[in-house]
Amino acid sequence: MEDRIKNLLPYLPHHTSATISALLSKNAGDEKELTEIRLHADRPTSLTAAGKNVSSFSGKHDICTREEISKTLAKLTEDSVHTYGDMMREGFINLEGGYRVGVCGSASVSDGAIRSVYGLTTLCIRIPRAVRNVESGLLKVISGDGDIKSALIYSLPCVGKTTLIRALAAAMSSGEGARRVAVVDTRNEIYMSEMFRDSTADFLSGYPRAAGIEIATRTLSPEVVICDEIGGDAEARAILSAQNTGVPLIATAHGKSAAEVVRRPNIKVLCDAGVFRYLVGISRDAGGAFMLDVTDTAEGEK
Amino acid sequence: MKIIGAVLLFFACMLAGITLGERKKKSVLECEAFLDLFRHARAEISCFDTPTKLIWRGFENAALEKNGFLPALKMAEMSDVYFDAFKTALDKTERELCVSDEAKKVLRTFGGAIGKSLPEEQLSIIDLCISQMNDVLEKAKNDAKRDSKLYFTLGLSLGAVIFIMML
Repeated sequence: MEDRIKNLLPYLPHHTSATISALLSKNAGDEKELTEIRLHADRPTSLTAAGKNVSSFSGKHDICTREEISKTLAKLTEDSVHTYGDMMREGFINLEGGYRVGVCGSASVSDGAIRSVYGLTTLCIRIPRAVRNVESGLLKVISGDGDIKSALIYSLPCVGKTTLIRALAAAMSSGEGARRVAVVDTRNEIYMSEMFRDSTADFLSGYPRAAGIEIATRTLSPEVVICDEIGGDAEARAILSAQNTGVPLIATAHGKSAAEVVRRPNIKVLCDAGVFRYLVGISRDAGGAFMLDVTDTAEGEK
Repeated sequence: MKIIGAVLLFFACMLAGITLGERKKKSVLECEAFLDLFRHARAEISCFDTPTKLIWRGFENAALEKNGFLPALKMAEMSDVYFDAFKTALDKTERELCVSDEAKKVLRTFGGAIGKSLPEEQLSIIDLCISQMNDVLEKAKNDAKRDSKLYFTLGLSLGAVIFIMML
């Protein structure tokens, strides 16, 4: 069994660990494709592998109690849920090793802001994957004439935006001709030690995107800035300001199509200002390889 | 021989009285130590959101070192999955602790809450535990004052009675 899954099993309820172990030992190929484990309180646990959701294991459901969900979260945070307070209020926590856990429950709201989350009902554990050599197509697009051009990569959730920009950041900052790459890793999702062992990339981990982009541009003299999931107002302003310095930006956003993405007000502002030369839609073919749908904002669709 | 036996029994009874009295005093010391630990945890969480295992690392107390509770708590860091360290340390050292059952109940409440929720909820529970432990401490102090004298007197009297009867 792969380490990224094996390391996770002791933190899960015993019956869930046993179910996953049994399933993966029966279908050895699935572990490479396993991307998510969803624990639901008093409802079936489900696994996402190769884009498919499975909640019935040999005709049986694996069901966790509310207490087990709380215990699992406590174990995952090393009994320090309070340390992850701000992240929890945003609906997720990031753990060492690149695991991201989506957290759902009941929210206690004060003045329109989430003050506390209680009565947890779902934990969605996303398993990180160190995927290499998937960036070549994208790299070719954004550095066609040698200079890196800004690009916005979009797709629906879970297609692999983070995987792709992680591979891109690693490739651009490693080996001969390595560039000065600054990665604003707000959710600590992009960095994976095994991917960046030989890399010279600078990581601004946990920085809010807007502040991270500004600091990276001002202090790290990057040749390219990489950032995950933009869309906020402050981010748009920071990006506009950074773009005036001429540093190209590779960013991601959720969206089904280029038209849908540019309809989002803050992204529209950026596109109207000519921040992104390319809008790159990603999807996967039947074999799981990335397919790119490139829109050159300077020339129209390629 | 008879006199030596009687003297030995006299001292044994007196020693038992003194030991019981000392245990009461120790109970006060331990309650104070746990109260300090609660306050330390509260400060670490409210000011720094410190991870739980680091909260324990930064705390020192002679009474809790002596009864083995702190070493057991810090030892939990070695386990593969860090979880319920406080409760585990409590289970391991419960026999060594001199605190009352009431105090142990407060300790279990604290152990069950620490690290399990967001800061606001946790601080409320810790505040409750601090208040309960303060009450337990007051009671322990009064008990110690009253009972240590009583145990000493009882030990002395019993020893004297046995001594006289044996002679």
